[in-house]
Amino acid sequence: MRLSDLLGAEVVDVDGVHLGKVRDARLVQDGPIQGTFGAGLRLAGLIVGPMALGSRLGFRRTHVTAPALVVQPVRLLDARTRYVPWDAVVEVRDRVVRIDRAAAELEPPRPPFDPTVAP
Amino acid sequence: MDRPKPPTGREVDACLELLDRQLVDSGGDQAGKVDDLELTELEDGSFVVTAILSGPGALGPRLGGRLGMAVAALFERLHPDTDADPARIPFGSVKDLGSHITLSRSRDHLDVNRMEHWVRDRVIARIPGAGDAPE
Repeated sequence: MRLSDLLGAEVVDVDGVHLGKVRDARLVQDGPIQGTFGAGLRLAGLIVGPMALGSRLGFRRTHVTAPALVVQPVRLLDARTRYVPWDAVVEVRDRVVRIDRAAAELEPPRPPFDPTVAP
Repeated sequence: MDRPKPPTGREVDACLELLDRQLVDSGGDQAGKVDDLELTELEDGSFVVTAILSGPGALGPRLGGRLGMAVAALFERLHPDTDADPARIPFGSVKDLGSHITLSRSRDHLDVNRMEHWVRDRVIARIPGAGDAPE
């Protein structure tokens, strides 16, 4: 599978509700060792929604301080963005990702963890 | 030889921190861009990134639409094989992720310079005097 098979795919919850499209994929470095890179990047989840401006602009990173005039509109636009853990994905077929839980059970994406950045 | 780095638990958003980033080889030369990622399923059902896909063969399908078809057609035109896969860089050749992606191999050992080679052989080589150019 390619990452592009997921990006832009429509996400449908267990009740058949469309949550938006896959806007990004969160990877975590805890997979099998791969050469000089070390622990590989495992697909941990999907960032899903009508928009994902905050993620795309990098404002969800913990060490990025966004200007208030920018961050408030971005938060409003991203209000419906949700994080779908990969273990919730039941099927990926024909550009549709089906998950095993309802939209109400999903949370907004939290900032990605970076061990090199102090909290 | 470097010891394998332990799992850090670092989280990376693929579009934000990987896609379209510049690849830099072990000699500091540019070696293309990250146009897509290959994900491989493990026995436990999880997926891990096993390769970076680079070049028009990866970018075309990702873009989609007419532009994507044009890019894919260009790739097929340049590739000597009729059933060609995009340039694939094993993720084990990645040394570091940052503002660019540092590789531990030379770009001469990677299949990322196809366009450059095609232009060299089909265009530059036909210019009178090109054979006298210094290396």
